[in-house]
Amino acid sequence: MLNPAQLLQAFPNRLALIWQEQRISYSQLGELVTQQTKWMVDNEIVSGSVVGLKGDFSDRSIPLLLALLSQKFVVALLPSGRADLDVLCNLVQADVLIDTSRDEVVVEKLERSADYHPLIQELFANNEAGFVIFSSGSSGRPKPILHNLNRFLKKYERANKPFVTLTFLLLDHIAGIDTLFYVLFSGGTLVAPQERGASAICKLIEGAKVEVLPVSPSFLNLLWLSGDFDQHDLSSVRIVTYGSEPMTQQNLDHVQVMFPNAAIKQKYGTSEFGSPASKSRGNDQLWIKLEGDHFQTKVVDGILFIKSDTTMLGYLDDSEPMFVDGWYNTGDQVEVDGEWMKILGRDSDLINVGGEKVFPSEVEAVVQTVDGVIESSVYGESNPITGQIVCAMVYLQADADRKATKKLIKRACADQLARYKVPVRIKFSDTPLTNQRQKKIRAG
Amino acid sequence: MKEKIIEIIADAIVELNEELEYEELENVTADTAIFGGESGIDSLSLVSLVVEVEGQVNDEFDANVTLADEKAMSSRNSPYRNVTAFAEFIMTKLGEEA
Repeated sequence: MLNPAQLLQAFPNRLALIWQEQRISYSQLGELVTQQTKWMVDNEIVSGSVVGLKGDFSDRSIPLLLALLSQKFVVALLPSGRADLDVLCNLVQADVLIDTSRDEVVVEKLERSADYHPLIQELFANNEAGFVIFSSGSSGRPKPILHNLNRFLKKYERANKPFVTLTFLLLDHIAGIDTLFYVLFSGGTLVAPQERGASAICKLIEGAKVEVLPVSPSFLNLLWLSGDFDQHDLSSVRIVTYGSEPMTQQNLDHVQVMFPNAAIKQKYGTSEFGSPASKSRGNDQLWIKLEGDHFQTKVVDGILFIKSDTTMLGYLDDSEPMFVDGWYNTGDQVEVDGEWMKILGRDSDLINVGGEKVFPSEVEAVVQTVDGVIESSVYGESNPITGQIVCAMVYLQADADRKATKKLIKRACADQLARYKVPVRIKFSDTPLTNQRQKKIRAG
Repeated sequence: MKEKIIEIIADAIVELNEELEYEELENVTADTAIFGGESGIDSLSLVSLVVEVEGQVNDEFDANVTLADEKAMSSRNSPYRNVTAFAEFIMTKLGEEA
């Protein structure tokens, strides 16, 4: 059985992590893991329990995560930027919440309201570790997805390219976990940013000579818009990977200008099974091929299905997994050309703001609470800066002031929702929204 | 016309900054940097600013221009780099429509 902490012994002298001004070798990271294990004992955090972990990649969160997984915990990786962590912890019946996102690590012991989910009980019974990723479920309620650690790690056994890699994608996303394990298994170096603005990232690339840049199409777009790529030496970058939202040809053309020496690769993955190895047809192409021993793909009626050994154990709520004979229905529409395919995305109401998913109903629920609002319909509009933006069509009471209500709506949404979910464009309708035309806006 | 557009942009930045509270955005001038480099705002704020200015410009000049499109993205010098560049971009857009 794999022990993540043992990984660190393979390349003791190599550089494992660059964080702030620190350069931490694999053997030093191993010591940090040992310290964290002791710290857990001191804080009476005992094996065979569920821990909610909050925090971005850092010299604290990485060793703590490795220590927890080595000690057979189930770790729920809590999404950053959410206020309702207690709700999420309750969804997975967490015993402890550890927040590493502040200067001082905060530990909060929690009362479970029920037994562990049977899938978690099974993991514990088999003395295995697991982790939980929250994906945006329908209606915006996060879906807890449980993975068996050992099963998930199988595909990294052959990771053999020790690159200096920027951890741009967050630790609570499956793509962030993918970056973490690929780098540690291959003996590469993690470069963890403290902020993710274009200028800060460029400085980090230049300073740490970053070789692999796994980012989102939106970030690449912003990098272009900011002009910061021209102010720094980014020539160390050999591979740019992107995923999580549709890429436009224009954006892809710009990436080639910004990173003339880099191979540009599209990645495809979901929280349910991680991300297979992939190959792009060319630097200027949106066609990809998913490969790897642990993944099989097929396309039925234009929809991509995947079968993989690294598939999740299951959802920890009442969500129904979309499996047919062991094949997972990704819900993503694809175009096929021989062995190549182009990911077209989902045909749904889902709004994708810079890779973050927004469900209209969760925004509507907040807009609905604002004084003067009778009805609202939230929809996405394409926008070259963030891919899509959130828009709301609102029908007000006759005596309501439009300008004032617009402010109230924005404020209510900003108070209760993540920033990317706040409607950017608010329009007012003179008629009720129940007619077909308005419904269509949402469908389109 | 340019002054009016700069005023619209400045007002929108000031309103946006009510939440951001960035010191460098307290006094907006034609040279104020909007997006890129050390100063300036993030993408969500940029989108919000562009949409707000778009609405105001279209109201003020009875127009129907779009201020975030492929053309805005294609130039190596972004129209969102500072207030003047953004104002000039808007004037070009209004000119194309007239």
